[in-house]
Amino acid sequence: MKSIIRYADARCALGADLESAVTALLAAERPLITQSFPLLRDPVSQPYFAMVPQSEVEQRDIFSQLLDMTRKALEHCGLSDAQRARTGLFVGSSSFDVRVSEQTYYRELQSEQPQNATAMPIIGYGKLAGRLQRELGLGHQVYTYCTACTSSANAALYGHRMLQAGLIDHALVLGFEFFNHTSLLGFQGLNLISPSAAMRPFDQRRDGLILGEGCGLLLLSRAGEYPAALELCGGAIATDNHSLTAANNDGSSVVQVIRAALSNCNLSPEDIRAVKLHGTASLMNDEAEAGGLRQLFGDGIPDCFAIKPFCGHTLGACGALEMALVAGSLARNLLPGLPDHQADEQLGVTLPPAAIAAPPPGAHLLFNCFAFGGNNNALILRRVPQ
Amino acid sequence: MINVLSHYSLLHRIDATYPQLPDLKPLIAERLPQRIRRIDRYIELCIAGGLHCVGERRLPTDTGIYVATRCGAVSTSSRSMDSINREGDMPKPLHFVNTLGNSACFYLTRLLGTTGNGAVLSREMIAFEAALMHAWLDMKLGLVNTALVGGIDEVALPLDAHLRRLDTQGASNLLEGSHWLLLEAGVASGQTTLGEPRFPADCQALLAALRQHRETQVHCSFAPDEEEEQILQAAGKTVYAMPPQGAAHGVYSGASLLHMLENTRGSALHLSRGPDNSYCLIPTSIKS
Repeated sequence: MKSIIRYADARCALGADLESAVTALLAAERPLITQSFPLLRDPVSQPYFAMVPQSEVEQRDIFSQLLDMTRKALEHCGLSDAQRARTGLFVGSSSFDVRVSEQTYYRELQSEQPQNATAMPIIGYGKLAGRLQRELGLGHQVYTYCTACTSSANAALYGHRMLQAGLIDHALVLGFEFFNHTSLLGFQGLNLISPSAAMRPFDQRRDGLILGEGCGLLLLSRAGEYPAALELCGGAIATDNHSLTAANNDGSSVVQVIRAALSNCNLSPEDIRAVKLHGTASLMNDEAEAGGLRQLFGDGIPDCFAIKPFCGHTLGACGALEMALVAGSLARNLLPGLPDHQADEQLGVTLPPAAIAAPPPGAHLLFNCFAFGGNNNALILRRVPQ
Repeated sequence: MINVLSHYSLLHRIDATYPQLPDLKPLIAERLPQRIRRIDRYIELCIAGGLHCVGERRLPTDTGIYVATRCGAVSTSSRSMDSINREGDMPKPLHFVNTLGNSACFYLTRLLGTTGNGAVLSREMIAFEAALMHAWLDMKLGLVNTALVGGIDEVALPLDAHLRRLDTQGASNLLEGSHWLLLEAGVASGQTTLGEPRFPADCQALLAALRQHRETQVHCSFAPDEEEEQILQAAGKTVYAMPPQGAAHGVYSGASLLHMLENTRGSALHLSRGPDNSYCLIPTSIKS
């Protein structure tokens, strides 16, 4: 049984809502800023995709921003109290409210009693989801996923599985990542940030990633019960034990999870008409993803596209955020291109230089997300025939 | 129902006056001759519990691994935050990668040689049951046949800071632990089995759920309050609660469930309390 994506929303560097973000994505805008870190003794800066400020919301705390977004989704879909009680909440992030924890700690360090300051003063992965569930009157299936960059992709897959199992009637999937020093400097310390300040996945000049902040939201319901243009057919999660911070570059673990996803949906590689790449533009991970795609599709790799060059790698948010942006692009019958792309011929994956026509209704798309810690996720989407 | 192939629980009581964290290395060495470098205590808790639960078994490579935590790698995360905010330095790369939600799971799956479904998840005080729910779901859908479900939460030193984080400044003892179940789909006669986890939203829903179960023994992971006592009595249940040993850690309810599996025979219900008086109820049948 499939799930429909009944509603999607996005907030990221590209725009403060889905429509504006998709417009900027398809125009290949790259709204980069330079982020500096005044707390550090040695000057450090890095390129960054900061969220588009919203006049009122920008000053509010993380919870209020998430509440605004989720409330809007429920109101847009007109879910009654009884329907909300049959709605599960599936939240994915890699940093949760670490930003608030950092701010609180910094304030305590600046106070008159810095010796009492507590590093990491706020803990509990599930707190934000719990507060949202209570505030929105949602049902009892409330889960928080913390598998780094696959967090919200896993949230979407488990929302779908719980719909399949009849445990819920609707799944509210939320992925978010807000600016915080720990994530940005952690990636900088691993030398994974692009020194050329350009995120160029599968390009011969690729030299690393650029981080971004963002929120993505999906409301899933069982297929057949409501009109929709896009379905989540299923997917798979698999584990790659090669390395804590890099996928196995022979592509074997990538092809394993994609095959499992196809099998879950009773599909074969020939059924896939387009691939949303994970595409982090790091040397090893692009190699692994390309290797997996070559093993699966041979010389017939379908149209590929990437979203991170335009809004950054939003870590735990990227599953839900990029799926929302894909839904928005497909609604315009387009998929994003990547201007100035110079394909690395050794990888064998080429991205179109400009937005291309989306595959027709009825076509299936592959949606890849891979994470540190060897957690891989592949999802299958389908454009609903109208 | 799903079969329980084995279970293992580590429950440490940390004295708040003279805090000493038990050394986990000897426990890990019992199952793993070679030393693993560059891991923190949170990862040690995961490895020690997971390996001891699996024991001598060789798991199928497609075994699903489900790890629950309420708070994650607090020690290492606070160290990274300290580097940046107090010392003005970059966080150490190793510290940073060990702060990530699934790093502990990576070390465990690598040691076990599994490549199947992996999930790290949380749900406040019923995170362990959340992980169990995911394993149950994947088995019900036929996606997973063997599942290793674990819950880990650590005590981070210095203790005064950790007590402030947990808002339990008056506690004389703190608990930490690593609690694990190895599960198999299907029902084999004479095995210990677990039923579908249910999540009653409030006391009234709990009463209705309790009345649907013929089991009379209810093992609580918390000390029931007066209203809860009345509900359990009204449902005709005999209540057992694990003796309190200190301020509960995030996955304490996992310790309680495994304590029940170890010390009870026959049919029983595991009851845990989530936030805002929501609950989780798991029917069990424990082999004699």
